[in-house]
Parts: sequence; C-alpha cells; structure tokens
Amino acid sequence: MNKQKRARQIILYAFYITSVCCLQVTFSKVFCLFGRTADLMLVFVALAGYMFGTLDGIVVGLIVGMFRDYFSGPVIVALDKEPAALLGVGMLAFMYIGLLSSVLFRRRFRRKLFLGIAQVELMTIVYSLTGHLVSWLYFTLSGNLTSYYSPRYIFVSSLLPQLLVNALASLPILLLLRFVGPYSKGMRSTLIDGYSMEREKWQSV
Amino acid sequence: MRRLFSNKIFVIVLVTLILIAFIVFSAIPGSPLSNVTKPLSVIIDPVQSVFKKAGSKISDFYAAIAEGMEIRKENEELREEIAELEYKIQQGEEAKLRWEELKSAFSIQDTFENYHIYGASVLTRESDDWFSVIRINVGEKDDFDSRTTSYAVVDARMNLVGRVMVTDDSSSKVLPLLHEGFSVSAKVNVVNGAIVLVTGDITLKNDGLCLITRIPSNVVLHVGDELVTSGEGGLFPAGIPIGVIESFDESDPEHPMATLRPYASVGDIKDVFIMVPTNGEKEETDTSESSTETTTAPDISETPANTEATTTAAVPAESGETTLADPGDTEL
Repeated sequence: MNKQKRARQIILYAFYITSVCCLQVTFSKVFCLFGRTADLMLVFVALAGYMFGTLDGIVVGLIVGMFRDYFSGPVIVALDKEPAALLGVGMLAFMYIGLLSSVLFRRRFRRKLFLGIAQVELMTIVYSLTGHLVSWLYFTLSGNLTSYYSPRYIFVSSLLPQLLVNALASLPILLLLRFVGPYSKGMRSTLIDGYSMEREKWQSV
Repeated sequence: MRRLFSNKIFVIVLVTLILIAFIVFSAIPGSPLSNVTKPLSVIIDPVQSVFKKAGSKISDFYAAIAEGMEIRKENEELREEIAELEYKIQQGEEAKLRWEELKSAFSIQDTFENYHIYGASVLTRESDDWFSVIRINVGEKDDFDSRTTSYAVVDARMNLVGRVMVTDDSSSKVLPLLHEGFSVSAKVNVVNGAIVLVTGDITLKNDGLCLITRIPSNVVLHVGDELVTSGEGGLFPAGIPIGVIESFDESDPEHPMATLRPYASVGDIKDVFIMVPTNGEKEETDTSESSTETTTAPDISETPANTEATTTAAVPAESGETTLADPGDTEL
C-alpha cells in the first residue's frame, strides 16, 4: 500500500471512529427505537472486522473501546466500598468483537456485503449475552445481587429491540465502508488473516 | 523475539493480559491509572463539543425550515414577519425558563452556604446497560478535582443527580443516581424522619427507580413521602431532595424495602451543578468578599444561560441568552 492510500485509510478510519463514538453518546436519543439506542460503536467494529479482516477489526476495536471507556466506562464498587470507574473493559470487549467478527463464519458468509448485517446481529447477541453473564457473575460473587433481569426481559425487552436497531444502524455504515472506504473500491486486496477470496465473490451483494 | 511477536495468537493473548491488568489496577482505590484519560480529554473533548454544536445547529436549521413552511401555508405575505416573531417568542420563553432555572439553582447558595456551585453541561450520555456514566464539561482546569474526594451533583432545581467520580483536564465523569454503584444515606423529610439507604438497582433503573434499604423495622414509609439526603457520610450535604417513595414492601418485616422515584430525570437533563465544599482557607477568603456570593461556573458555555452567571446578577438577555451583570470580583 502506497503512502497516499495509507494516509487515506488512516484519515477515514479516524473520521469514522470519532463520528460514530461522538454521535452515539451525544445524540443517543436520535438513534433510539423501542427504548434501545443503536450501538453504533459495536456495529462499526463488527463491520470493520467482517469486511477488512483481523488486524483492522482488532485495531479499530481497541480504539473504539478506548473511546467507550473514556466517555462512559463501567463502574464497580471497589475494595474500599467506593465506586471505581474501570478502564480497559471497553477496549477488551471491542477488541474481541473485532476479532470474532473477522473470523466467525468467514467461510460461510464469504464476506458478502449484506451478510455483514448478520455478522452485526451475531456480535450483538455475543456482546449482550456476555455482558449479562459477566454482570450477573460480578454481582453474585461480590454478594451484591439483590435482583437481576429475568431471562424473558433480557431476550424480549433488551436483546430483540437491540438487534433491530443495530440492524437498521448497520445498513448505512455498511454502505459507507463499502463505497467510500477506508479502502479504495471498498475492499482490501490482501487480507492479513491469510484468507482471501476469489475476487468475483469478494464482498458481492 | 521478533518471531514471537509475529505470532498473532501470542499478540492477542499478550494484549488481553495487559488489558486485564489494566482493568484490575484501575479498580484499585487511588490508582494512578485514572490519570491515563487526562491526555485523551485534551483531544477528545473539543472534538466531541464540535459534534454537539454541529448537531444543535442542524436541528435548529431543520426546525426553522419546518416552521417557515407551516407559516407560509397560512399566510404567505406575512410569513417572514410571523417567523421572526415566533422565533423571538420561542427565544423569550427559552430565556424565561432558563432564568427561572438559574434563579432556582442560585438559591442553593442560601441553603448550602459552605458550598461553591459550579455549573456544567452534560457532554455525553450512557452507551448501554454497562457503560452507563455520563460526562460533563468541567474538570481540573476549572480548579476542582475528585482524586481526594467526590462531589454531589444536583440539577437546576437542586435535586440530587449523582456524584462526580473522575475528573480529567476539561471534563468529568458523573455517576448517576440510578446507577447500581450509587448509594446515599437519606432521611424522610419530616421532623425526626427515619434514616434509610438509597441505592441504584440494576433491575429498577430502566423504570427510572431506585431501591431503598436499611429501613428501620418499626418504620412505615408511605407512597409520596419525600426523601432528602441525611448528611451522614460527609459527601452529600444534608437536605438535598432526592425523590418520593413509589412503593413500600414490608412482606419481609426484618428487611422491608421500598422504591423511590428520583426528582431528577437523568436522561433528559442538560445542565447540572456541582457542589464543592469550601475549605477553611478558601471559606475565609470568600467570606471576606461576600456572604451572598455564588461560585463561578468556570465554563458554562453550554449551561442554561451560556454564561458565567451569579446569583445576584443574572439577567435574560435580548438574544435569549442569559448574561450576567458584572459581579465585580465576586465569584459566582
């Protein structure tokens, strides 16, 4: 990749990352449907990993996760019984979102463009269920569990609406990544994960 | 070594371990890792402010177009004049509302004269169920920091919103009242009212409610009873309104529980005020200046009035922005 293309890639990624992160936390009500806000950060990381491979997925995931930690990092009750803001949870979670979206079902999905939405849905399920599991474990182990969401609430009132709004949000981001960049012609010619497709099948609709 | 780092699995495991160590250290009280985000705030906060301002301008633009079209249908000849008048009325109403809010907020100083009141705007809101703190636009550059202590955060009507958790250079994180990590000692707002504990609860927060525990067994709470901060614990001054009792469950007589609906609506709030206790030296200086002064809102360009306001001299300007008459050297 020549310097010009590299610069274009970095600038576009920087623009996308700051945009999705700032939009989500600043105008959360705009992206809200059925009481759930579209998780633009998760959608972007999942699509970057799905479309552009492991390295892009991981790096974008780490940066977006850092923004997430910075803007609204999770809080736990620390050893001194005072709430403590954790750093690194978002980075860890989104690094794995980027990684998983670049490797899961890559042979089956063949990185076809609109199957990216399916990958986003899959990552939403993984993120949501893992989050609830870790959260439940934390409350249980720390002895602070007075009550927790019922499975019905998690699936019907939390996960389903989240899947819907994330699917809606993924469409414009998918098209943006495909037709504007960060790579020219919306595709990365040499994937670092070593799994390249035949050109005609690569990211076809 | 170079070969080792070319192994993707090794790199991923290494990064994972580093991040886990990072998470663990950040949870340790007084950890220096809380300073890591300070350099970020220098870059990210201005960028985020640009997004916020741009969004506001765009929404204003579309609102203006919509209003103009409506008026044109009604009366094309007077469209521009009506639009202008309506705009002015709207601005006037907004200014009036802001003015009332500011008046309310500044009366806090009468009740809590040992506290400075800093105005701030909400910059960012929660991301999801787990990333759920909010960020406001005051920080260490505004001369307060939460490394040694935390501060109470109230809304313009003096209702409790949460507490400051982490301060960066130009912004701070606020733990909202509904968050499950939040707790405050409260009392029923009557003479010799019972002392209880108000905490956030993970299942109640989606309904906008808090949990009340440690209710003395001989006490019966009634729906509609008001709770205020008790002052125990030292972080929150006594008497800040929290909310009203929504329900009371005494099915377990030894551990009765209740729910509380906070007055402050964290999801809708745009501006907050931080209560910073005056220390001895500062208090002495302040007292010598004026007993009725309020604390300068260090950067309240996004606050209700878009101003640096004080108790004594905030007046709604013609433009709709509240401006302050010169308070002299008096801090707001």
